Amino acid sequence: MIEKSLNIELPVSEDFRVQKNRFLPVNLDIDEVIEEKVKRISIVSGTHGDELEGQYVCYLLSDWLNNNKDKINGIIDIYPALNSLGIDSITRSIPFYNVDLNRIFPGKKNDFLPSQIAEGIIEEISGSDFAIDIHSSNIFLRELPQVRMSAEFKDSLLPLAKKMGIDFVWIHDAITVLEATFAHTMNSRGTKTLVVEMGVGMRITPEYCFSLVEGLKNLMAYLGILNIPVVNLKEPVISENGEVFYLNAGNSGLFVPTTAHYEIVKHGDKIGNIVSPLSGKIEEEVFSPANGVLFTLREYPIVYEGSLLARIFAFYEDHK
Amino acid sequence: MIKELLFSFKSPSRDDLNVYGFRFGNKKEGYPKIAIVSGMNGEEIAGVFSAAQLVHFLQERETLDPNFINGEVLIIPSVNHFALNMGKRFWPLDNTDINVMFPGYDKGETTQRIAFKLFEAIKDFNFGIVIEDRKDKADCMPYIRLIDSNYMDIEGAKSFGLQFIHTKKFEPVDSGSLLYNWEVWGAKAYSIVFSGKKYLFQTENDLVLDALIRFISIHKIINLKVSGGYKSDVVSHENVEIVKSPKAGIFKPIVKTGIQVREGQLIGIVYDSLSGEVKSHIHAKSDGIVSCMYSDPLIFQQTIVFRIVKFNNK
Ligand SMILES: [Zn+2]
Repeated sequence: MIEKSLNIELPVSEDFRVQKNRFLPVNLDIDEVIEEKVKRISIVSGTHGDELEGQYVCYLLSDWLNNNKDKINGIIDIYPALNSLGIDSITRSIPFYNVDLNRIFPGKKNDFLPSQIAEGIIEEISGSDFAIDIHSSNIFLRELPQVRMSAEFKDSLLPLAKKMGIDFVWIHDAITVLEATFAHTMNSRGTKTLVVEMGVGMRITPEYCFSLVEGLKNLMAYLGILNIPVVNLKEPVISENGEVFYLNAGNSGLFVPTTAHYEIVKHGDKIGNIVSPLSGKIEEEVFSPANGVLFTLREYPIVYEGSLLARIFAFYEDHK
Repeated sequence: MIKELLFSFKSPSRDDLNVYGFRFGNKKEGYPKIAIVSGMNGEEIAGVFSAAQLVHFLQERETLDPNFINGEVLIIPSVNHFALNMGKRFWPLDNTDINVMFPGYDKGETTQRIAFKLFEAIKDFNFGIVIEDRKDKADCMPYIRLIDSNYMDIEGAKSFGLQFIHTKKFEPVDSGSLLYNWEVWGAKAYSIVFSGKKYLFQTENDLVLDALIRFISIHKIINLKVSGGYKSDVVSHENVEIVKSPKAGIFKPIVKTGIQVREGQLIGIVYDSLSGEVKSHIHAKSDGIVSCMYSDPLIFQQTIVFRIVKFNNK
């Protein structure tokens, strides 16, 4: 059932809206569902208008649910495009304001448009038991399917992430600016919220999308929201068992990787070259600083000095 | 005066980003050093212009009188020329803001490195001035902005002689600003805020240039007698009335910044964008001076249209 869930008047003959597709257990209406206290999960995407992997995930999941209505035991709300103006215009932030929606939660009703949108989203999704916020990196970097979480919520979130068949779980320290994210706001208010980062901006990576949909179904089975068997999907690598190395460009130019994303690399292995299209010369050869997995790799080739080229995860000795 | 290349960044295809500083003075013992920075984003054109006018003024005076400057003045009118030269606000490749990256990181992302190199060049000064614009779409009378912290120097800010000194509460995002990092490093730092994204307003630019000259002369960095300027009012959110638009549509202001208004006075109108009907009359809710005004004809619900500094008994 498709519902409009947020209406804010725009200057010229249009309302800003967020739409959701709500799935309920068969033969129960919303009052009965509330009566029975069934669990509710909200799956959101499109906070950043240049990230599209979540669009395909939402389609695939809704398609499966449309064909498996009898398996639904809870409320499943799917919001593909929170920043609907951005999604329809290849704009990462909220257009007109140039403000990153994921840096202004929880938002306020009587504040400027981006803040009203944030407030409306939190109001709408509050009360969910669980939420999944699907991101796809940005247009610059390709990411392995991963769940990111702040260390302060690790105890409640890590067991859920392990059911998702995801490759990597990155547990980071509390960072002040990340307190204004959707996930931090929801977690602080009692909705267990996982952030998925995968693929790359402006594109879809079908195999990642298929795999995440299976992971989400398995998580919902584990939570009792779907009546399907829980299966053993692959265990994620956890960031706490190793170290993340950052490779930043030392020169400006065109970055051409010589290693594929998600390859195992050894210390000193070549990752790629920064070349000059004008001179025809190699400006910089980029080598791995450690033995590990190339879990982030630059997709957008133009780089300045400082641009992130890759991230490598290396296990600590006792976790190999 | 020396025009110095402070640092340079190579671009893959366009010209290098060459950030220049204009250094003046005789570095006489016992006189302070001041650094002035503008143009960290590509919309701070008014700030760039004011800083450049100060370069011009000092150069003329120094040519006439080699002893005109006692201390040291370093002026960096523009940092982010790449954005200025293409009508963008932030760093053009990745849309990041240099002015949230301080103190910078020499092994980090591009804008962290730019912030690092800039901060290295200016951190050891007694005084630091950032000339910046507002993030929102608002035109304001030039004012001094200070972040409310142990470091803030209200008395010092009064020597600019601008009409208002606005103190704002510290927010997490301020931790990466040049203003705040200068203070943490031990400089007395002030931000001059005014706009001019689309037009330059001569009177406002003159006010800012006068304020800069007044400040450096009061601190004896230059040998010049100046007028006293305004006796600045210190304002915070408590004595500023925020007026919002209840409707979206097309906005037409009735008053200008710097104007005194009376309680109940009509100050703006919001029209329906298709039918042309009046959707909302906007009135002042107290007596005061219009310090800021929304600067775009397209308006959203709950947008702040006016900031009115309320009269306090004086
Ligand atoms: Zn994102």
